[in-house]
Amino acid sequence: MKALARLAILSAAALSTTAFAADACSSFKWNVAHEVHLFTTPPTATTAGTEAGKAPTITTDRLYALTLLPQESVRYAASPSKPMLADGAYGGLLKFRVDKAGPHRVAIDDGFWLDMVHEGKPLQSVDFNGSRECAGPRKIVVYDLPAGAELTLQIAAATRSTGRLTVTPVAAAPAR
Amino acid sequence: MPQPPRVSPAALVCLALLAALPPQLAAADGGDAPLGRAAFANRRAPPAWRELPSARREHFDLGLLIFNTSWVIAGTSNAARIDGLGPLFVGSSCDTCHNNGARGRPAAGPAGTSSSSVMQLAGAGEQIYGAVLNTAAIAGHAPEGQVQVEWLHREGRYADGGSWALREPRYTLRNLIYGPPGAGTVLRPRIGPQVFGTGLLEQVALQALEDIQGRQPRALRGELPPGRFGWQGEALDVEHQTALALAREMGLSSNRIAQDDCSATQIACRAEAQGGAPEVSDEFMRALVTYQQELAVPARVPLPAEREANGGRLFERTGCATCHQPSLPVSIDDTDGRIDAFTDLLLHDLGEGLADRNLAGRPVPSRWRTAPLWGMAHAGQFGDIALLHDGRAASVEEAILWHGGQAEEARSAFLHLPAGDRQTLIAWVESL
Repeated sequence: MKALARLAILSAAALSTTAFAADACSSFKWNVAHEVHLFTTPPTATTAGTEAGKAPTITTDRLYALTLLPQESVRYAASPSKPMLADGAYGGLLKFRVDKAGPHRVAIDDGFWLDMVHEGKPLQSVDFNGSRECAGPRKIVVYDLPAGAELTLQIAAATRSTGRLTVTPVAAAPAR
Repeated sequence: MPQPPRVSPAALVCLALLAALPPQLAAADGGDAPLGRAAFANRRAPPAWRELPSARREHFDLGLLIFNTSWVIAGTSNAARIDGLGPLFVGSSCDTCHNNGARGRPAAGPAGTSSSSVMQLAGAGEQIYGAVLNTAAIAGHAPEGQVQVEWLHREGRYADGGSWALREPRYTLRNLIYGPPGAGTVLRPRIGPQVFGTGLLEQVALQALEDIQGRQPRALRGELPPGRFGWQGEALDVEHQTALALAREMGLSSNRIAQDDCSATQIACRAEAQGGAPEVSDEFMRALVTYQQELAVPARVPLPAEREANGGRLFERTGCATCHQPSLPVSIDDTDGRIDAFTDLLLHDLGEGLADRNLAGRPVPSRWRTAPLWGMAHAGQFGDIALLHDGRAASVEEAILWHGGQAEEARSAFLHLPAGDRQTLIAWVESL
């Protein structure tokens, strides 16, 4: 009986959470409709690299379902810029280029640490925002990216071995 | 979750200039330089306010790592030191609510709450949901609910005809898994305060607070709080505050507080596997406490001399300094000094406008520990700010205008300042 009651509570919570999720993503300070849409599309499965030279190449405006690797096996191009313990953590590297210079948003479905590395150094992010309630995306970091350059996106301190991620030019996602 | 916000070029120049100064000189004002200030060259690795012996330095460094680390579910592979999150929680790391040690940030969207904030419950709600409404849960458990904010708008005019506007938050609980608690339940929204300088606040002697209390006019006199930390002075010391936050907001037990924030009726929550006994080891707790106790306060951003002097005078003249005391004595390792925390660490009634409300929307008597103003310059350098206990004030001006009760006189004095003086006072507070 107790188990049934618990199931009922969880079911009710799941239903109400779904209803809530419809507007949960509106709590971002920008309009994230483009990212929210991308997060509903079929993802491209990708295993992140353990070092920059072996990192898979991704493209903008596409949803990736990432497999991350134990962080101790990852050789980062630059040390993660946030000091954290790495016990049991996952991470990995991705490569990409953008055709047009300008602000781009990296969106991920969890609060994993992100660094954008260019020529061996982390780029300073321009802004960030998050929503605890929005299932996808949950965290967005904005970087001003140079055109044509090889960029390495580093993921660190992930608390699980999977994640979903998009990179989008800001122009594709208008401000609120 | 937190990631660095934008930094303006001017702020970078300021930081670079400040970073060139040694810690004790960064805030120097002659031979009586306040203790605790230091330049923050890398805000993701904020400095200690003083040179530390190697063993304490190791604790400080480990404390920073733990502070930033997201805890994981009990039993997670290779993570025995940091497992035991939840089962119900608000954030998975200290850094979630105190990003890089700083004040919490404002809500992003119009209906959302700040990701640096929590909703504490008192009364019937606490009996059902625990001291904090946990808005997240590990797999197999459901979040207790969500918090939604509606903003009411208030407008008014200064004595010189200038206009002001405020946003007043009204909180609603949604998706409550055990249904609505009684109407008498008090909602206590709280944003994460900065943790800079907490060790120095801990070093202010009780006698010093009693002396301040004795000097305050009867109508403005503060009350000694039960403790030193928390928006209402409810936590006794840094370790107690840390243990409270770990238990209530992250679901982590420690030897100081052995039980997560599961109420007596939350059987499944209480029965969930633990990440150890306690989940936060004594070593980790000591490191977290050391980190906060030694953490510096960001150096002030200096104003031109005349503006500095005028701002300080206005701060005194309007009565702000009666509670936001510019100087507090501390005694550390048998050496006397002072800190410029701009607080009296006493509780004051700030009126119904700021008071917590029950579910029926009625304000309940609330007394607030005078918020330290040091670190304001740092807060303003990295994007939007969120002041007061629930982060409702998006500017120093708004924060001043929210003051009532025992601070009504100071608010009135501010309302009657000419526009130029108001701007000078605001700029001065922003420089602290």
